[in-house]
Amino acid sequence: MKHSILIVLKDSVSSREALEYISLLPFCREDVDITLLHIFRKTSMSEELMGENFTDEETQKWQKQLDNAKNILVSHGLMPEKIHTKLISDAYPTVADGIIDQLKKGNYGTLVLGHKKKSRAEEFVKGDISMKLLRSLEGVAILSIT
Amino acid sequence: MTARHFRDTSDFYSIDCGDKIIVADRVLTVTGHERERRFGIEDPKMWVKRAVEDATGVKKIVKLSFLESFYTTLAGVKIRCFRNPDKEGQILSLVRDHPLFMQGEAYHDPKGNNIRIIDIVRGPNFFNYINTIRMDHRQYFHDVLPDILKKIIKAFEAIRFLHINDYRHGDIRNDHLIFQRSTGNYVWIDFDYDYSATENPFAMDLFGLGNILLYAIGKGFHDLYMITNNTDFYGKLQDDLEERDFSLLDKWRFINLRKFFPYIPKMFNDVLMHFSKRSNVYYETIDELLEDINRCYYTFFA
Repeated sequence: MKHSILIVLKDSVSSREALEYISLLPFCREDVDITLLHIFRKTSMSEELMGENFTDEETQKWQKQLDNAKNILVSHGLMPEKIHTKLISDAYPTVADGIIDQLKKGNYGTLVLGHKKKSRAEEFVKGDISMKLLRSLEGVAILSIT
Repeated sequence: MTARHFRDTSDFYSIDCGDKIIVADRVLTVTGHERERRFGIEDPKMWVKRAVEDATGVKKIVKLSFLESFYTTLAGVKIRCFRNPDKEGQILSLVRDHPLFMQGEAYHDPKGNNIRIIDIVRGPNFFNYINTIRMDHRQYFHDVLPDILKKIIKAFEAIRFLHINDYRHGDIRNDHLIFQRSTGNYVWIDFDYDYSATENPFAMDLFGLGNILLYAIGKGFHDLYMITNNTDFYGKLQDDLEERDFSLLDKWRFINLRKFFPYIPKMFNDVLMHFSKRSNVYYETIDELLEDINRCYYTFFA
């Protein structure tokens, strides 16, 4: 059975662990189709002052990160033509909003993302992508790796 | 002595009483500085001038560009806060003629500094207003709170208007809500603060609204120090306290008011408890909070 997986990556230990976990799963390599995704969150006004160079550098940095992630999966035996990278340059209000939108646009069966354990206060102030997605999504398997 | 004229407001410290600020075609004479009045301290805010507009003789507040930035820590969570004069200018345009927001116009001086000329909202702030109500809590809860809550709901709906337009107030406090004497409205002031974006972009605004609601329902804040040191008023409440009765982000602030005021309906108390350490579920949007407060209001007070 064909299976399409969306892996959301950000600059975090849990993201790297999520990627490693997926790379070690015994997939049937012909049947699995993986998209590696990074989403930019809309910056606050003061961050905008960092300028276009900063934004360009971030975009280039993330394209490299996604390519590296693809190489990791390929080195574990997955087929390069079945692994896609997707860097969304349009910023979303929150990363969760971006993931929800991308899931609507694609035909993914599984969503994979890293999850950092947070204190209650931290969860309130900073929000929690996994919790938001669990509340908002239906019809997709969510693999949140802590 | 002839008055000094300032078109460039970069060095706002040097602009003093008697000086004139010239912006667009408006001339304002500085009469003093606004002050931050909190915790019994009065600090002059040198970037906020009291002034009189020469053409009309009307008193105004002139807010000059001060790009302050700092980190604050709430319950161990580090948050980057900063002043954002342009945001306040944009909100002033958005809320033009909205009766629940301070009114004013934003300009830029020749050096690009944002200058906001603000109409003064006359009346006590919400902190002082509640403080001046002299009656016991039970009578306050039944006789006075219904009207206050009705106005709070309107004020919260005004914040919703900001949120649906992708703006945060940024500094929701009980002294940034003014009981405007001439209209009876609760009017929001001072929206130049902002904080770094997170996955819960309105969290700090919601926390501020929770504090205002707590202040209104409790007829003031009640903290651990007060509870343990004023046993004449609080009796043996201190023997019945648990950590989860207190605020999620302010560990001394008592949230579980029903423990002390048992006539507060559970439905009301449950709204407050969303901001306590007991809660596993938090308000993510102002719509969720408004829905719950409205339900309380219409169940018990309407």
